[in-house]
Amino acid sequence: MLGRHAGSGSDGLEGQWLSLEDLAALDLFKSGKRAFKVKLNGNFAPTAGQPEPGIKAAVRREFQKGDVICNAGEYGSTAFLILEGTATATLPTGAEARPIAGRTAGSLERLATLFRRRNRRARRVPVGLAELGEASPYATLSAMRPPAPRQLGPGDLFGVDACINFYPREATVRAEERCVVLEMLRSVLDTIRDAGDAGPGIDAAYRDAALRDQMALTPWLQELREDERGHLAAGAELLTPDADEVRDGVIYREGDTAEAVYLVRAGTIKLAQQRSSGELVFAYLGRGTAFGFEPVLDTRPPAPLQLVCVAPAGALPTVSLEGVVTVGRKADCQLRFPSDYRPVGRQHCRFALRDGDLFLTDLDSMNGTLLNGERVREVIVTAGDRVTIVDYTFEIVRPDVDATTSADTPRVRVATATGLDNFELVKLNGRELRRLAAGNDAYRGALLEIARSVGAAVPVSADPRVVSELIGLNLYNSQNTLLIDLDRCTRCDECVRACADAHGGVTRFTRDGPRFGKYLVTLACRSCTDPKCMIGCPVGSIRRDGSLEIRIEDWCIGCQRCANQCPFGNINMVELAAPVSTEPGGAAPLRATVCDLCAGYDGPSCVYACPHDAAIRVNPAAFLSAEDLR
Amino acid sequence: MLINADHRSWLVGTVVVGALLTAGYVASVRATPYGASGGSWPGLGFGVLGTACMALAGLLSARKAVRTWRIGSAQQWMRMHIWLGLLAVPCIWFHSGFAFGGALTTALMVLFYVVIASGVLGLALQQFVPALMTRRVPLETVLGQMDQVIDGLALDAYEAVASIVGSIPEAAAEQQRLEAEIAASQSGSWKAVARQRPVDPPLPRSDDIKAVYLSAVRPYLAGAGRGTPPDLRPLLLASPEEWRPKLDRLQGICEEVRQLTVQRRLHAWLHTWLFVHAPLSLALFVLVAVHIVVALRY
Amino acid sequence: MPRASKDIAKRLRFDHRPRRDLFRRLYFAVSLAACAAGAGLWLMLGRTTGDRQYLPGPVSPAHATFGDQCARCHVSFASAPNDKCLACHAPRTHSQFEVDTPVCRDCHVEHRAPDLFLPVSDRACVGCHSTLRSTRAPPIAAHITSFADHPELTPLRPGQHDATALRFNHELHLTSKDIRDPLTCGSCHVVSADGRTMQRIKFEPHCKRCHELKVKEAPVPIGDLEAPHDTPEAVRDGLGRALLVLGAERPKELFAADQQIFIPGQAPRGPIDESKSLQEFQRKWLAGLEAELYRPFVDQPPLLENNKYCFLCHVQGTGAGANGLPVIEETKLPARWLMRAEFSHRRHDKLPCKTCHGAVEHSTLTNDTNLPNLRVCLQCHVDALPQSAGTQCTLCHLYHDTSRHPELRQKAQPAVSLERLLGRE
Repeated sequence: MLGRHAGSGSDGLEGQWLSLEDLAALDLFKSGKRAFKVKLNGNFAPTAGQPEPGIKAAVRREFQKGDVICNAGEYGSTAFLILEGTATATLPTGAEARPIAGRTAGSLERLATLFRRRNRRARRVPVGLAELGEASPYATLSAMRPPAPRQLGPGDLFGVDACINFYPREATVRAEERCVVLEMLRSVLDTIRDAGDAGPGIDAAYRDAALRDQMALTPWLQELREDERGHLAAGAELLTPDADEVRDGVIYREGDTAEAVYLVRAGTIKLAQQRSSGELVFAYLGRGTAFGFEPVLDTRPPAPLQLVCVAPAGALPTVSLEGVVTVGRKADCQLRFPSDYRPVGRQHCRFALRDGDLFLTDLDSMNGTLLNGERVREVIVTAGDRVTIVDYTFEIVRPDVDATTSADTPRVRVATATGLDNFELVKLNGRELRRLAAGNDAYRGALLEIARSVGAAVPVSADPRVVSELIGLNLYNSQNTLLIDLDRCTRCDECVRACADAHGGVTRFTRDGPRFGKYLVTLACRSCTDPKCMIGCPVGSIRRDGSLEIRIEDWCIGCQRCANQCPFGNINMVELAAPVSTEPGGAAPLRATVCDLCAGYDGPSCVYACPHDAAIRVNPAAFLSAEDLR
Repeated sequence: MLINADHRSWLVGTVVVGALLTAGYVASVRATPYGASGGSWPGLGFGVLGTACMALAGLLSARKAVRTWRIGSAQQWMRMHIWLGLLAVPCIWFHSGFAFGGALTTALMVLFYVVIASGVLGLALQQFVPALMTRRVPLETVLGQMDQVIDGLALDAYEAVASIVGSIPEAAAEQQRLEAEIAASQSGSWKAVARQRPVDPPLPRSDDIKAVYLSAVRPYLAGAGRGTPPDLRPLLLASPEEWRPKLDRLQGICEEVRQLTVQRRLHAWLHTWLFVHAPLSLALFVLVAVHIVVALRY
Repeated sequence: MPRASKDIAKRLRFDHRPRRDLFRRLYFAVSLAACAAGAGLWLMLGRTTGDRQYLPGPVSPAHATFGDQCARCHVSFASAPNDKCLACHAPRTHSQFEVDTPVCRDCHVEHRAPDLFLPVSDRACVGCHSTLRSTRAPPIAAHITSFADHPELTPLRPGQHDATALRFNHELHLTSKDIRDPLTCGSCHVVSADGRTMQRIKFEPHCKRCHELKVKEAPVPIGDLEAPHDTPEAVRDGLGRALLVLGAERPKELFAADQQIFIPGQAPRGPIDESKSLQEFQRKWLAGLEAELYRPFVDQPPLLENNKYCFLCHVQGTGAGANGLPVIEETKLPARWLMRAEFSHRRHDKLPCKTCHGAVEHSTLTNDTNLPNLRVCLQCHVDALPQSAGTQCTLCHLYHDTSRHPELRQKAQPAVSLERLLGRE
């Protein structure tokens, strides 16, 4: 709680403290750079003249045989180094997301009922937990056939993934025998990665593990044998926004040569095509998805449609609708009618591709052109349409997509892929994938399956206004936002008062912010999937400890880095009532505060205390709709 | 609170109980020779019921003192407050036999009617004024911080003008004072907003802007939006293209301050009735206590 | 352009709690002021009107002199008990058959509405009388809810008749042309002085005018002697004395010349002949008179011819009386026909008697009860008429009916001094 002496609250991880000297003996903490010592000092913030470090940023813990050291699906902010003993790491078939800390057992149902009673949209089906925003949608992982467990022994570092990409842990690590483990905060790990000798090794190991685990968890790669997968992994890379080939978040553009297939490990990727009417977004992809299948599929964008004469059947040849196809009696028409058949014009109608759309234009013919029975002048046609010219009926057909595995024709990207935030992608070699498909039928089947579903991808059905608003307000990666329905809110501030009451007299949010239609998106923590606030905290005090909510621990030193980095200004600095030590001439020490989703209560107090039923905490992408924008 | 389908069970319950009470009242009036009386046993029953409704409804204020206690959400309490308050009306009508009675009871009835009427008025206002505020004040801010926000806007306005006109001596000192005030009230340097320095020398043909700023914009902002907002369109039309964004910003600031005055007014609509409703209900409780003691005594 | 979240955050101050605006700051003060105003209103009302501020309505004029001494009637936490009323008011009863006596305040509702105190509303009566379980024999009607379903007047119910032991023919008296002064109803039936009843029919003012009790068969002056309208013993006494006096005062008229009557006081002439004494004379003439007077009733028309004296009207009782005198049955002329109600003829005195007692002219028998039945009353006393004369129970009935025991009224009513009335005692 704020206002108390820092010493009486939590001052770091639980366990046996280790001094800097103890740590210096470990290989992991060796470094030739002077910056390492300075940074490490900053992580531990030792107090002058005290034997103990100021912050227990690294502690020694013991586990008995069978104990779970860390769980898959949990958010974590610590990494583990095995000092003694062995442990097993497994990627489970399914991991359960932990609800917010301290929620009582029945409270989730109560929360669900609370939200379900909002009957502004009668057609809404009861939402799942993840959509309620009480658990991260990325916390539930599944694998059809989990890979073999890995053995970990002394000197192995694990649990690094959650510290680096802030996503829930992937693996459950269980002690095989009595284990002694060093648990360290993310801040310490960052110091080692930046300036320690072991840094590059950690990054390399993380990369290898990421590639291997991501491929193991991808359903359509499960058909590959272990060695095939290993081969694939050898040629793969882990792509992040700071890679050279990524500029402004753009991974590849429409029309680029396609050579890789990508697996999304973290982040939000937008797939879009540029049309004359604007950008047409196909999909927003998150963790667990894959994109960029052009190298393995014969996707000539778009597969040219064909005009087939159905009545009288076969009277005229089938024509592929590439480029411009003119229909008429003239000699240079691509689809030529007999020149003595007068009812059809010399140039009757024309099919033309423009910006990816197939246009049918009637060229002022006497008897007209009918589309599905209606006379048209100029119209866009697609597969399945029937075109009638006098008494000939044609059908527009899309030929089957066929996966070819041998042709080396250059593949071209059909859409632009952009990463909206921090992302981690596994970039797989396309050629390699094709080669493997040739030798493994089951894998080839799985590949075709996924390709078909991608090929038939329709544009995102959500209202484009909604989507653009969500993106403009950066709500697409919010997992739990406090929205206030301004048509009900009487501006009585009960929510803020309740928040203050629940948090020792200091509120954790402000009742102001941008608007989504009639909803106020308050300045309260949004539980982002890529929390920028957590990046670079020197003492690792801002973290997720097992569950969705972000907590700022008592050992925050008030450096304001998180407050500066939060793109929405949801973190506030508060003056300590009873400062630990005042530096001469210094300002009153500050501590950062953020909304912690009322962990420890059975639900958020702001929602509970609003007398007018105006406040809700939801996953905004799932909750908001075009109706709210009017 | 919006009256919507969430209130269905309370509405049905209130109507059912009201119908039962009406039947009971009609039966009791038929049975007693002299009609309804607060002192008769049915009258006493109605009185107890009415007081219970009022007392429970009045507990809403107390609830807000312990708003984080999990003893029923604020929405449930508000629904209870509304419907029990409305149920108290027929209870008291039946208790009093629709009569005002003597001096004390007349005062009680009058207070009761005023409290109920103000409550109903407040409820009616809450049906449409929030939506009105949402539509009319897109640039709404927290009411308690309006002064600081307007100060910030004044700084922005000066910054925009000074980037064309240069430093304005009349205003510069005050701007610095405002800046210092705002900086002092902010906890955390992350809130610091970088301010552009005034342009030096002033851009040519910018005297009009300076004049308009000093005569119209600055007093308007200093007065927190009292009076009509200045119209800067003539300035916009007369100014060169490069200055448009800054003048647009200036106009936007004036518009924002105008909206904030609208916000204050609508906020008053939403909250002033409470000044009548809650204190008078306390007076009502005082007199109800007197009435109960005296009526039981006699 | 939508404002960015961070810009909004930057320009706001971070208040730990929302800053209290003007409303909130004044809220507490206004609430306290309102409580104080409420209490002050109460105290002010108390100062100006005292305890009368708690009255639901004005006190009736009878009790208004009590001022605000509510304790005169009220007992703390126990309403207004009967003994407070009985401090000034005499205890009253209703009926010996009443099992569940209501308390005073159940019917006499003070300080509610000005018209609820007196008279008592019908609802108070109907409360019991609509579902009455009567133990009287014959029982009181069980379901009286208004005048419209009021049972027939008791004397007019089946099986009831005028049991007066007297022969009287109204038709004769009212319509006969033989009567020298034609009689009207008012010749005999007169409203009493207090207007509440009719005067009792007595021989003296009413019958005597025409029915002289002088035995016309007897020679004058004996025939001029009027027999008193009294018991046969009193008649004998009276007539005997009158005869003696007559004999003493006017002997010559009474006795023939050759009858030597011994008059006491005068010197005897010869030997006393008992058969010629005054007593003998008195006895003989008395017997003669009595024989005429008590001639038994001959039920043959014309009645007046055949019956001249006592038994023209009176009924002879069975058995022999003392001293050979006949027994005259007690007439038992009812002084009052309606035992549980009062009909005020004075209030109806503008109506001719015939309006209600129209059947009297055809009544020949004594045991005709010539009261009008309820239908007659219901002509005016009906709720449905807009010009109803009223149907309140209290128009005719009185709950505390001491009319049959007037002594109770005087005896039990204590005197109330002025001091007590003004509350100064």
